[in-house]
Amino acid sequence: MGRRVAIVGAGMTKFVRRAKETGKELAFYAAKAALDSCGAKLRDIDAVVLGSAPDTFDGVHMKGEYLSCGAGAFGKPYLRCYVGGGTGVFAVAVGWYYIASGIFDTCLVVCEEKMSSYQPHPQGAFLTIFDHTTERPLGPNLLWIFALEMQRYMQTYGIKKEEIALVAVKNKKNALDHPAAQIAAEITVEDVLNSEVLCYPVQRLDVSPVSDGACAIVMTNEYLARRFTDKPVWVSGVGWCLDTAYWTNRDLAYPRYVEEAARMAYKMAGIRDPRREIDVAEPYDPFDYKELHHLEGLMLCGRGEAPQLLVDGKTQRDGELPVCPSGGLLGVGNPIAAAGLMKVIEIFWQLRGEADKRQIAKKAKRGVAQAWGDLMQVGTVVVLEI
Amino acid sequence: MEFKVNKKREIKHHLGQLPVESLYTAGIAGEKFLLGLKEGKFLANYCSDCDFVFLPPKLYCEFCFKEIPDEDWQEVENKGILVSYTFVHVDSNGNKLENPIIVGAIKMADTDTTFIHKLLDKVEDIEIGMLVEAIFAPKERRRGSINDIVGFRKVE
Amino acid sequence: MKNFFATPLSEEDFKKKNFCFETWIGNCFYAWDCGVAIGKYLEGLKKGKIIGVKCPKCERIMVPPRIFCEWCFVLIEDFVELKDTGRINTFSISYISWDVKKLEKPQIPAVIEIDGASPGYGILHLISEVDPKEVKIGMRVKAVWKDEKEREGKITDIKYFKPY
Repeated sequence: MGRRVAIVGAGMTKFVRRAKETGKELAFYAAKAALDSCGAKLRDIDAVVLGSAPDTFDGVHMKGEYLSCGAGAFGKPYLRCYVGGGTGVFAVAVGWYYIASGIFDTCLVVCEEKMSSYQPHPQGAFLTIFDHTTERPLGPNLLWIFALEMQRYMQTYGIKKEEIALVAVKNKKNALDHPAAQIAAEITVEDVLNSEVLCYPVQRLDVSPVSDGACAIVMTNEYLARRFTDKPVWVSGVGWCLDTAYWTNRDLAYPRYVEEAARMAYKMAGIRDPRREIDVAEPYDPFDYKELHHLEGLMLCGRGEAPQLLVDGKTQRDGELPVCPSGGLLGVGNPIAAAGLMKVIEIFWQLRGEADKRQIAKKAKRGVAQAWGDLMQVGTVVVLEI
Repeated sequence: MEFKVNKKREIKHHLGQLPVESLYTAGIAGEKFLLGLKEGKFLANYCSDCDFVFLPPKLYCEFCFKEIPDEDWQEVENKGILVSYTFVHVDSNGNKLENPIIVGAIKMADTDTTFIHKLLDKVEDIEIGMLVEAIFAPKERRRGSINDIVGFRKVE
Repeated sequence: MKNFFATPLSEEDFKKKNFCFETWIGNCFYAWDCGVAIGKYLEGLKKGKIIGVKCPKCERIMVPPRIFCEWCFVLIEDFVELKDTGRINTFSISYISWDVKKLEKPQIPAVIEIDGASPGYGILHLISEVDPKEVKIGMRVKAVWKDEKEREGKITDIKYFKPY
């Protein structure tokens, strides 16, 4: 399908709760780090893709244009894309089709978020996710949708809170080895179960933090890849799918839109049996139960079976299917758009054997990164291989 | 195409409000610049590769993407040429202002960018090309903000 | 080049404002048009009824109503009166407000599948007049309406749903 596309370089800022840097400066740090990692210069880049969540967070109208110079886009073709939390992986898909089509040779993909600007608490900016007429007058808060989905998932498959809490324990521990991590920690299942109940069944330690941060990658085609690195990582499959916004009209127990996106990506990558052919996975984990929910959507196990994989230790770094070796959003942080790209970058480093202390035990040839967003609507999936 | 659905609706719209309150940091470069204004100084910085002086200064050169080092920061003189201006007669809600606000674009000495701020002269005294200087607020009222400059005035 | 770098500010820093900053409050007032379908829905609520629609092609009965079926992409013109009872599909117990402040009394949001609509078709609303510990998925609930005089044609014309 068009030209083969590779990721050749990556960089990111530290994820912090409140950054002193402006959004532009964060985007610059990440973009420059990505360029430097593969010896690329700004003049090597033909086009820039920027992923960033609604203008309301940063409080800057036309945020794409505002961030463009920090993303290295001066005088270049530039596109800002956004699909909720799915943006970080979707931006990679956009970069992919820019290069696969042959219209551009090398592309810089940058994702940035500065949520701390929104007062009094960035969670409030999500209020607009609810329908203004039929839902907002009820006084909702963002956690409602996660809590309602978590409840339905637990009930449908008989999953216990103790099993879900293991995700938070695993990811926060994995994040202790990630240099950009915001809230890495050694916690126990009891800590999670004893943490403050925010919106039953969601408790404080089930939730990823609010963050400021940025990530960037350099993508190019098969002809130029070896000019930048001797270990290009190929984007062998991309997929994305959006479900209906009438979220009260569908079964929240299964993310069918993640399955659709995964099918599209697997088909492109020639994957028939994902469980056997994928070596490492980074599903989106803004909440601990979501890692399990998404593993099932990615068809890496049967419906309702993800908790068993976790309990059996198969998803640890030394297991047969390492999941979120980076520490995920729960450990590293959740700057909405940058979080998804952080996951893609983790798979990139894992496949190249450059993940330092986070390196998984088995030799990985193929990995999948997935992100999710909006009103529990969008699934975006990318398959990488080396 | 004629729709059978009821066009004569009683309930047409729903009123509401979106709460948006933002707190903006000035950034690494921005903070240095504003602390300079607090001292009554204009700090600019220089990209040696592009031969370009930025005011307000930036952490990076957007043209070549170099991170501008500390040693390439410099103070510039408080004087400039007016390159453009406008008289603003309405506020952001479209209401007429009693007295127009005058906004000017100033090219400060030895810089390559235009600096935007208010002009304090009378409407009839404004002309492009005139020499202007910044009038700072009294020292005790400066807090590290663009408003530490009250406005620009013609130099006699 | 700095990798994994950012300059963190603490909550204390934000309170003390020991950095250069500006603030802005946006006046975002809206008059949102309900649209044809929701307009009719709200008129129904004012009359004490829950209104849904039926797709002429796939025959799903859906609520909240819409004038096109998003599966078949055809125009929907048949509005259907549904019951004001239903079954809880999922629920939560919220102890915090939209801006992360502690609530005095916890709220119980739920997705309630409305009787008369196709299975799985529900609306978001609140549950009350029940001990939060007693709420279960599958529980049958009924709408508690405001007095006729107080109804305005808003989703809040239903105060909440309660078990029955």
